[in-house]
Amino acid sequence: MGAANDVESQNERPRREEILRLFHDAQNAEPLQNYVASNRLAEIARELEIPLAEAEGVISFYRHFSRRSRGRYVIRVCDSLSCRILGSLDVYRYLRHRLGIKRGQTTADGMYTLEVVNCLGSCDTAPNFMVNDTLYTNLDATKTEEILGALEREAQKEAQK
Amino acid sequence: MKHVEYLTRYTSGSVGTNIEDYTNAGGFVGLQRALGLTPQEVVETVIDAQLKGRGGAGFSTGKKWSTVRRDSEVYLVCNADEGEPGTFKDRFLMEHAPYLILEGMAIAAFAVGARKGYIYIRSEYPQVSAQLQRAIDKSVSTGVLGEDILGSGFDFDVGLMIGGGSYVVGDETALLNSLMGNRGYPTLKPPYPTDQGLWDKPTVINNVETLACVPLILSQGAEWFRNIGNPQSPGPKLYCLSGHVNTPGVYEFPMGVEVKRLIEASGGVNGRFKAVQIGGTAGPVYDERALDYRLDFASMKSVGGSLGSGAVVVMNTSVNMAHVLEVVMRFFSEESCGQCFACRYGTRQLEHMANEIATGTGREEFLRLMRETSEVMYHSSLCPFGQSLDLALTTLLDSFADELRAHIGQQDYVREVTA
Repeated sequence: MGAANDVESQNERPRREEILRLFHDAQNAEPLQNYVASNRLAEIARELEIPLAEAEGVISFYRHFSRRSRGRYVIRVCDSLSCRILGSLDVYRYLRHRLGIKRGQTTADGMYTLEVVNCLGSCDTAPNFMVNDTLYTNLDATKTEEILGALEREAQKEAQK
Repeated sequence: MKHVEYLTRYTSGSVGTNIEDYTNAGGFVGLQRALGLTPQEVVETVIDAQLKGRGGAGFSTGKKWSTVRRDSEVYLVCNADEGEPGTFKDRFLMEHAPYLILEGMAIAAFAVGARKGYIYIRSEYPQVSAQLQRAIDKSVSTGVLGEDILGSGFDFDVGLMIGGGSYVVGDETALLNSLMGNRGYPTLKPPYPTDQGLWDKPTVINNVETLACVPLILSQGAEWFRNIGNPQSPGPKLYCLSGHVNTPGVYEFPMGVEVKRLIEASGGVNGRFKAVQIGGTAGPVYDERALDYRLDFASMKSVGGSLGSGAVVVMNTSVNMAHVLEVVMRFFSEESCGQCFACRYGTRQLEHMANEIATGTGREEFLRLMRETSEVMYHSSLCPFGQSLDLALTTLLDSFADELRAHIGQQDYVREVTA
């Protein structure tokens, strides 16, 4: 294969491989809503010169991205075997009762979304959860309550600004 | 067997994270040596060292490199999509020894003739990604990556790619699809990525820990590496101890360390030992007979198991194996990509039966039906994901048959985490 061919193949694909990065950017854009809105997805499809259905097909494959509006804080509770045998169910149960939502749901005030994932890759500090991009480790109900309290104070401060 | 510090030598303090400290500790000596050899000589050195891929499959790294088609542009990919439950060694290496990995990538790229490389890292590691990007930038400005590496005339760029939260993408064919911006579907092999990978160009995919071993082989020699641990699959290995051990974490031992030695190194069992799962969620689940097993590719294969990623999840007597069955089967059902029927439907049936057993509404015949389902999946699933579950399931059913049978009809558990 010659150099001319390579240039041609470069032109044939307008940075299609950028698609996950564009999804990440869209989902993390401020003000944070933790999802990729339809108009944003359409823009990405246009930018990459692919059909909208194809962009939808790609994004729907990946669990990290949401097409529905989520809370200010997305809590991803790890329920892998290592976390499970060290109390991930207690943590999940606490969150469920404290927030009044189940897996996949968002609180009415738009504050929290509760998710369950299969491994956060920090099994030596189990049980763990992530809140947006921050990992919290060695959790129990008490520590979970402290974390929620801190998040709520943070949100209140932001609202007062 | 005593613990060793060949890889972990570079993970303490700032040795692995500060480029000057890394260089002073002997970093980039392997790269320097490699650049003084021919690419073919580098490949032969790694074949001679008998390095086997640390991602789980255990294929000879050097042989993989030697099969790369050389008549076109070549890509190198570092698989940092560490989604395997119980596994956190790659995270540990990326956090504490990014330059070791980047040096390994530069050597691998030189050996296979790649001028462009990617690190595909999972989205669950955002801080690690940021750290890695800084290490890449620093490497370029220092001249160990980028143009004219160490004055050799060899160019190699590394790009970082962040995944989207999919276990299946850890499979190399799925990872390539994801890297190209597609759904992360695995594909049938052949064609192998070394023949047709990224944009149909030959592509070499190596795990993080595999690449971290490469600088050691080049700097200390193939013979040195081959003399560590089991001669059939030698070298140092990072084992991930979690669950009911007193000091969980990453432990480095020569390949072939016994399970009981690893448990001892991680502070012993918290409580009384009951079970262990080795190598990840698709790995075998054993009772105390596993304590004498040696953890290397060949030894685990000889007992009908698999080393997998080197994850070791220890369970004490408080753990109910029916619940373990449910957790493991739910994992497969949720992470199946849905592309092939055997896996899509099989994993859902297995999850359903495991759930019924765990919650007390299961029937004894489920234990047989689960085996049959998993056997069909083993033979007819498209990719290793659907095929691999059989080992976890059969070992769990074999090792804890009495307990699982006794659990039939016992309603001691309400399933709370539902989709």
